[in-house]
Amino acid sequence: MSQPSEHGATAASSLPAPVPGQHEHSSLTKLTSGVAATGARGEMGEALLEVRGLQKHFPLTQGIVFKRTVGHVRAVDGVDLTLRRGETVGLVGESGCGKSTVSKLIVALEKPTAGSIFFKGRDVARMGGRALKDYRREVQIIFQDPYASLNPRMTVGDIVAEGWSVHADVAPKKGRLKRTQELLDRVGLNPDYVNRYPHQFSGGQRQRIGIARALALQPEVIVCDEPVSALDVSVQAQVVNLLEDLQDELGLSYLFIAHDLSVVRHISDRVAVMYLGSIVEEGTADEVYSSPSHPYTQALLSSVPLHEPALRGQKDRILLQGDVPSPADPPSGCRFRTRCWKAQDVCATDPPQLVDRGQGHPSACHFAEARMVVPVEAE
Amino acid sequence: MTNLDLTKPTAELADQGTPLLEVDDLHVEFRTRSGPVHAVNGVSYSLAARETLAILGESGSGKSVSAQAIMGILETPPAVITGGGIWFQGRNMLEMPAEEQRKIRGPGISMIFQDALSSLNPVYSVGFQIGEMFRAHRGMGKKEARKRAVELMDRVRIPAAARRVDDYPHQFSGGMRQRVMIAMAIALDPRILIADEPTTALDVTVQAQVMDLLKDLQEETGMGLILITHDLGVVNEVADNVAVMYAGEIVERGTVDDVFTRPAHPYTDGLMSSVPQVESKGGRLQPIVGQPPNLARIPSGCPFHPRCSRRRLGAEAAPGRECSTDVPPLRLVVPGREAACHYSEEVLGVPAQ
Repeated sequence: MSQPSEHGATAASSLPAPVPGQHEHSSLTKLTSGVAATGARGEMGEALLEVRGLQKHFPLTQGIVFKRTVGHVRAVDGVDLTLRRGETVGLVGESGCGKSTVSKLIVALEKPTAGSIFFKGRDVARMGGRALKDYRREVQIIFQDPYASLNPRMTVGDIVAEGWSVHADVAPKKGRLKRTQELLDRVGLNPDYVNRYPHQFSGGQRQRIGIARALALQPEVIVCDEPVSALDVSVQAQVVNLLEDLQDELGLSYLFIAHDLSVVRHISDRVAVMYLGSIVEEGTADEVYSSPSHPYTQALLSSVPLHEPALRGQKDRILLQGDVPSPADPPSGCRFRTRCWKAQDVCATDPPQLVDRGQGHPSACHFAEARMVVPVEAE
Repeated sequence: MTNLDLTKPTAELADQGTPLLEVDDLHVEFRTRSGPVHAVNGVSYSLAARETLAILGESGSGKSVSAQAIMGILETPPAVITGGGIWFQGRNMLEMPAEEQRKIRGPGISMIFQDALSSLNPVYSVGFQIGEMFRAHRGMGKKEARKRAVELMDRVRIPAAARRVDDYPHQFSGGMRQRVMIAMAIALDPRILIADEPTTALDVTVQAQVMDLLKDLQEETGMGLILITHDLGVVNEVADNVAVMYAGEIVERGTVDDVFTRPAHPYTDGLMSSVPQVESKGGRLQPIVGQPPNLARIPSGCPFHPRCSRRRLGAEAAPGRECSTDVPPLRLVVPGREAACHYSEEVLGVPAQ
């Protein structure tokens, strides 16, 4: 460590973790040595990424020659999120709730309509040139579809090393092949495969290539957009374990976006539940899963089939009626009120704020009340 | 038709005890330019009225191909049924003329698919497509068929059925489309419904609605349900019995309670411990190493042996039970449970007989 900080690398383990439930400080390995030189990693628990009032509206147009806007799809409509160093935040929701748009906004592939994203206290929208380039190196993304996200005409080595052609300072030209091979080895692929093409790999191996590509630029944050949904059940666990190991080793922070509630519970420290463009409930994984307080979270959890024959029929069944309303014309007030069994007049007029109403963690419901939906397994 | 009577409701047959469907040592291969792909290698199972049998497996395990063979919708060529029999109410469907097979499809066996959007015809209204069952099999007129279509849409709980009967598939949401397909499949009160990943493309709240609907319909009609899925949770909540498939074979079979509580095959065991559960955060996942095999090059001996943590090779193995050379047959391990592993007793922790 070249920079002086409150705690040196050796003292790190003796310090109490600032936020409970977080991974222990890990030793910095060879892969992160580059980062350590450019700026020492800060304290665990420091807010890295802060999202405030994020909105993204896509225009709906009509007409072929003279396009006019007839409305907006409110894909993301007021999202607040905080990602601290070394933690994993899970973002769950059903298809169409806007979770993938959030990921695109965070990696600056889309420009927000309103709201802001702060990275280490700096507004990403105001970053220009060099700062934005740096931000894009620090925040990497892993995509859902391991078939569509790798260029079929590039070798694996070229795919992993491509980022270095833009961010040349990360890896000196001379040792790039060796670095690529180290990265492949780290994600569990044979380093001799650098000259192979993506079609020669299975789905799980391709996802590992995607992970190696993200790691190549020594990011601090990785946005994982449904990283295991396209994989077979027996391979999912391999990739989940790899992500956990890398986090322990490199001190990475993940924003883990998925629709699979079981995987999210397993990997996340904190969980945010999204419905129709906004977050309805947020808390630690245990809070959200053992005492969900928003009706939508409760319904969502009660729909997940359990794996234990002994627990069958023991959970609270909440069957939601109807479908998710169109984000082009969302309901007034609370977005969920059209399907909610607790809805009253106030729900149609006042959009509920995401605040703690005495249930222990923030929930965007006027009538939030903790309720155990999923039986806790006796261990 | 000789002894094939499809007029009586399925519920009346339930007490007779004869299985509705028996699949016996079914083999299917795809003949491709680069050689044969062995998709199904000797699969046998039977299904009784009111029974729900889950076929659990990962992609490429042959679970869908075996169902397509039963339904008679395999594309031939390249697929060829190279052996075995499919007995529907005592008659071998593979030896029937095509015309008779066609009469079974619909009132006898019917099927729903994963992707409702690509399974429905985009240029016909859903009412017309549901009514087609009545026009083709019952010789009804257009008007009568449309009326029956509305009734069916009501039965699968599509709101405002009378108004939506003339809508086109793209105007429905994913869950509603799946209901339209279920309506088509149950139109003629089939004896057997094969559901091939019916909820995989759906969100979890919609999945719960659709599974509930299927269960209710089964209770009403007494049909047998074959549920093809890779989701352990769905199997646990819906099925009575389960057959676990790997590399085109059934590797374990038993009641869901038994198999899920104490798996007897290392693959089933591995699957259970590699999947996170919503009911607890759990410790580190224990994945199965490696990849599912390529069906064109299935490993010798036990097809699971390259990934198995309990495999015994060479001198370690008991005579005749070497995992890389001796193919383990699907055998009775304990009463009510069959598994295709040489060392199932060890997996279960019971003494060998």
